[in-house]
Amino acid sequence: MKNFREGIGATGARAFRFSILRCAFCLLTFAFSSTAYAEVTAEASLSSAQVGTGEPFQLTVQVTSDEKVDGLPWPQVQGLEKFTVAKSTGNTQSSQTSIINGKISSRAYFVTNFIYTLTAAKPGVFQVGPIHYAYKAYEKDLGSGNVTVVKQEAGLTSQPSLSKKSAFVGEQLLYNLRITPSQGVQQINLPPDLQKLIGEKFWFQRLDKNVEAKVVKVNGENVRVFDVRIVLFPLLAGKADLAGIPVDYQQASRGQRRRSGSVFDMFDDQFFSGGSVVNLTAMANPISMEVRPLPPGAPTDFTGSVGEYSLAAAADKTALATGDAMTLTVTIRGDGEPKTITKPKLPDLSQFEVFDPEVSTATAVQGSTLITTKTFKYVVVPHRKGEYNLAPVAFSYFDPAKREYAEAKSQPIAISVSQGKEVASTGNRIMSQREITDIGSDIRHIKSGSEPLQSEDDFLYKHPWFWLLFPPSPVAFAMIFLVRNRGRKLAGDATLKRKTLAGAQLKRRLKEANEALKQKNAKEFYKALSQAVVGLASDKLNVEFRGLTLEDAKVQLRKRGITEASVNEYEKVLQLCDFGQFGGGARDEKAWKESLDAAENLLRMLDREL
Amino acid sequence: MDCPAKTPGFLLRAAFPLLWLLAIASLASASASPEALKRATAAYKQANAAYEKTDYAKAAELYRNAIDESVADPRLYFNYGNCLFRLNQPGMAILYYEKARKLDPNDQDIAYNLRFVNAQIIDKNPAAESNALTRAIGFAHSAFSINQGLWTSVGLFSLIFLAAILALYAGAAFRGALIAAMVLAALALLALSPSLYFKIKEQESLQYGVVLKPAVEMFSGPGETFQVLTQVHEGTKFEIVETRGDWVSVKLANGKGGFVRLADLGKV
Repeated sequence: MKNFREGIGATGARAFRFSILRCAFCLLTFAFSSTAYAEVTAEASLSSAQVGTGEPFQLTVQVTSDEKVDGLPWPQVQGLEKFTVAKSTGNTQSSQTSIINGKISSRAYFVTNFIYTLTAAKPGVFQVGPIHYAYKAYEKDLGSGNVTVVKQEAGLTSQPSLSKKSAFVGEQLLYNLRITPSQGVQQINLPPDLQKLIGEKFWFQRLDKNVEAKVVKVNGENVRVFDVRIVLFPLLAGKADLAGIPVDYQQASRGQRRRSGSVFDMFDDQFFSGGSVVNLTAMANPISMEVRPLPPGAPTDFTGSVGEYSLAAAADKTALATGDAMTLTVTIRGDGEPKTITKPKLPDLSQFEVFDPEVSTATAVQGSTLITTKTFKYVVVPHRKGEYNLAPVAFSYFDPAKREYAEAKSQPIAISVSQGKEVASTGNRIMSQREITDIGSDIRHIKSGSEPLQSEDDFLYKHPWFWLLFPPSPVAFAMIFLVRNRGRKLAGDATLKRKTLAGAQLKRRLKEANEALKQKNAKEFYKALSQAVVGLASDKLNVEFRGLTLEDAKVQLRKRGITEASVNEYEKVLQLCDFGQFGGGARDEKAWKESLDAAENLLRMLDREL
Repeated sequence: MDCPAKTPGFLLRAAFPLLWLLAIASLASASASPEALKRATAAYKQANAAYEKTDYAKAAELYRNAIDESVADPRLYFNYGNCLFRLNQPGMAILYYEKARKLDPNDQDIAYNLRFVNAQIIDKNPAAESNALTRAIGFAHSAFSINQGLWTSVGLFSLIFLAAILALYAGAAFRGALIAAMVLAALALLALSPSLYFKIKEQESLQYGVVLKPAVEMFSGPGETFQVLTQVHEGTKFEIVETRGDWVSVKLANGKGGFVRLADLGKV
């Protein structure tokens, strides 16, 4: 050991001190700094000298060099065959700055950790090593060390128990889950949704918000345990199964210390440090029980309360005047399901006005029993003077111990009511204003309108035509928008307007020609035809062709890129028209039709080319 | 002869009224036959008279006759629900109140009687978790029927474009008001659309059932060999998830579910 300690370098010493301070158990730590090869040093350390079976611990060989070296070899370690081994590496970089004689110098260190995570399955004392590290000229024995492995039991046991294996519907039962943790257990958690595990056949409530440790004797030894106490109320008769409750916990290896966040407030006083944490689950065994139905013959006012109940009633005044108010307080206390305590059966209070009570509920734990106390505060106003002996207030329940229905009753209350001042002085005047209160309640009356019935399950969306109601408005908008824009555009551009309206003008002139044709008026026919041809050319080219000689017109057409065939056709048609108008041209209908066809052909050609 | 088109105005004039007329004609022809309505109305009036005389059995029979004419009127379902309640059939009464509410979600009498009878049954229907916001949304969502919503959406949609058309020609003084109207109508339509969508989706894909027998066991699977999960009682309302032969997979409002016999339920 001496030789090893002498060889500990600066980093190794720090690691060793750290180990001593944090773990309180000494690991064997070896380190050597090389003098033969100053650039590389190696040291070895173990995280723990004593571990449990199955508990992982680490052997770390740290190699430090003053320049970055890729592909450093793994150390040679003997004695690992008794362990399960997992290997990993890690790299870090650090630098050291020094000032010597006013000169600043800086040096970088590159550290590579070769980590062996070891787990022993059997107890015993095992040697780890010898450890040897070699890199190029650097070669060193890093020594060896012993690890003591002790047998370690399972981390946690959970044992469920039930106060009764047979109970009546609604009777309170205690389910106790005893958790016995061993060393290294921390952060115990119960499943968040206990209702799913306990099932829908029970109403339940945890008795303790925080579970505290207690020491019990087991086989003559003191053992620290945690009891999770849950009260159950069976809801349905028959066989009821309570599923096993899983208990999650963390098993720490020696050395790990963590603050607990669970309801099990127990871990602060334990001493763990270093090591790793494993998440584990212990499963409590399921339990079956028999739930008996309540016997027949329940009183009419029985509302399902099962257990032991008591009732007390008291009035804050026993002597008062008519019109004055007193408070009748009824307190029902019992160990049945809290929700089953309902309004008690009040005695005959026909000479009193009784207002709806103010209700408050409180639960408390007595030993291992959940006790519910429900208080009803009635405001009672006497109407008539007299001496009243109020009969006991009663509450029906089922007593599972006696196996019979019972009634919890209060003592009778004597009330003395004197004549109030208001009535005596005001005769038939209403004593005091009060809220309109319901005496009874009923469904609302039938609808009896005379309008005929209608079938209203005929939904509009099922009819395709309904959806046609949507498109017209956007279509109308789009069309109006386009028309409006077009009108605006034409209004601002005379050339475009003339060109755009050329078609309409042409249509009108051809119509006139057809009319003339029908009337056999050759002069008008040819005139209209001539105007149609000349007009289309003028409108489309925005050049006034009217008044131009035929030759000038042809020049204009050629200038605008009109084909020679169309120019010739233009000439031919206009000559026909001139001849028809002024030269006594053909008078028969066939010739007119031919002229019309020729004109239409020309117009088509011009329309295409213009 | 090819002539430049000059027809948007013509198309507009011709197609617009035609489409509207066709749509209206289609809707008009979709309603129930007048004869069936007449017979149902006669039976309904007789049933009302019998109910007033507290002859509930006769009234129930007459209401049933009216319903058998395939007439779905919320008043008819409501009155029949009242009759069934008087005849001590709370499950059936709830079923018909639910049917009535589906057709007229705004009616206060229906809502009141449904609450009243629900308070009389054994099982308290577990309510889904809610807060002020979800309650407000739920209130707005249930404030109109599907058809009312659809008509409103057509109106709002048309209003948007009508205002847009008017804004094209309106002077600067009115254009702002018209644009504001358009924006408001668009926002209203935007708010209405999701509600309508979910209503129609609910109508098409969600179905509810009401327990009609005094007590019904809910199993973990579609058969009696499965574990009994709980027992539900007459009047309890479920969402029907799916039907498997004689069994129905159902879900309560709090998410709990199981299988019950189809014969034990009435579908809303």
